[in-house]
Amino acid sequence: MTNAPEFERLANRMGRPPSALRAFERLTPDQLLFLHDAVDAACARQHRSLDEALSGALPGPLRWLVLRLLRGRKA
Amino acid sequence: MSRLATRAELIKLAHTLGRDEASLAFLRDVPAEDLRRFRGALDELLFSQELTLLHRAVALSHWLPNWLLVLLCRWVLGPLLTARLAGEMPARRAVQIIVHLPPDFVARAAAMVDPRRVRELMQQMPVESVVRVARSLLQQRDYLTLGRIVEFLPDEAIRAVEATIEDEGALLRIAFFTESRNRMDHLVHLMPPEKVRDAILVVQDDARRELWPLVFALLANVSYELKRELGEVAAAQGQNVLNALVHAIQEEDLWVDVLPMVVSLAPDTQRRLANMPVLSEPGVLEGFVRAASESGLWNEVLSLLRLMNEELRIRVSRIADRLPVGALRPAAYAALKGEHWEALLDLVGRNSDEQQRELVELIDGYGEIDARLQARLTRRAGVHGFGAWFAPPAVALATGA
Repeated sequence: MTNAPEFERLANRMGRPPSALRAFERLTPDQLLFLHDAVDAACARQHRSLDEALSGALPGPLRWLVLRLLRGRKA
Repeated sequence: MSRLATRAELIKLAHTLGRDEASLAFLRDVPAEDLRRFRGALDELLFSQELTLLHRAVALSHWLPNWLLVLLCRWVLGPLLTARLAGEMPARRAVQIIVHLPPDFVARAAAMVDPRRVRELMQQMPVESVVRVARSLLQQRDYLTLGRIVEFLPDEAIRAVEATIEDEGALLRIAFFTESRNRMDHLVHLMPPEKVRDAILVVQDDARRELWPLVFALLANVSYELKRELGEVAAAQGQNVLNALVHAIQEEDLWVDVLPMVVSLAPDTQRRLANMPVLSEPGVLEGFVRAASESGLWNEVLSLLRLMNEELRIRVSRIADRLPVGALRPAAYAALKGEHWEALLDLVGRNSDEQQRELVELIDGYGEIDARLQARLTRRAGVHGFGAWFAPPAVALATGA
């Protein structure tokens, strides 16, 4: 199977065993890469939206401190 | 595999991914259930972001009074953070805050929430608040969000929301996006019968043609019993409506969705539908046979075939004769399972020698397990004019010679 690395990469990205996504196994490597990239982009967009919402919610000087406290690591 | 169910899933996946539906066209052949599982995994990825932060924010919120949280949500946090916090907060507390937020704001938050995380919250929301939010979503034409949340609402809230929806088109769109097929029957039963009827009769209205696939989607996703009940309503319409329906099925390539529904109807209705003159139009029966061949619907096609008149059966045979070698194997299996041998023998009896030999080989294979079946089919194949292809011992057994 020529698309095995892409398929396993996608399953890994989705946090699922490859057997759970068997229906996607027949996709071409390009299609699997497209899906992988689309998932990455959706996650990045969600992360950005949350960051923007948090930035908008917290005044500048407080932002770093509050986010550090809430995240429990370096903001 | 239902094309409509896959289409609904692709729209939802495209929405979650923030992509154009057309860009996911390469997933058209993936079954809806697999797409749903993929979207579930994606939702988990998206909604697990910043969980630590959200849990700590929820813990902090315990120290704040409700009125202050309402103000913070409304003027500081915005719909996204409110949606995410509502998903992590105890449902009772979240409800106390949400009921004081403007419906438009809650509607925007609802579009960003994972409905599975707010199931309890939706169960506890006062009906009047749910109705206000639903109205706002309807105004925004956000049927996708309504469809995703409606199944988690209590019956009383569903009835109240349905009562506010005057347009059957909106009902059909919401049903199209409803997540759980298992809940569909229940949702339909909660609707006033006249509203269900009006929704089905959208198929009479040529101006609302874009809604027709949604009617089929509704019919395809309810239980056998309800399918039959609603299908009878559609089938009871005049010939012009039925003709238009067949054209819509043909244009939208919905045979796969519609055939299982047709064979669930009353025998007389099936017979009437199986003999409609519109089936003789170019391309119609090709779509019908292709659905059988590509989607394993031979059971449905053979069921209807035996109700068709001679002229239509001849046409179907001609189309089936062009099917590739090997296509008859699933047909024979469907005939075996559903006792449709007579329809299949009649079909193949009109076709080429090659196809007749192919069926004879398949029957011989079954004969190794069930000699009486082989004998019976050998006899019947003789009646249909191709008994000569069977090996002499099988013919002897069939004729008792």
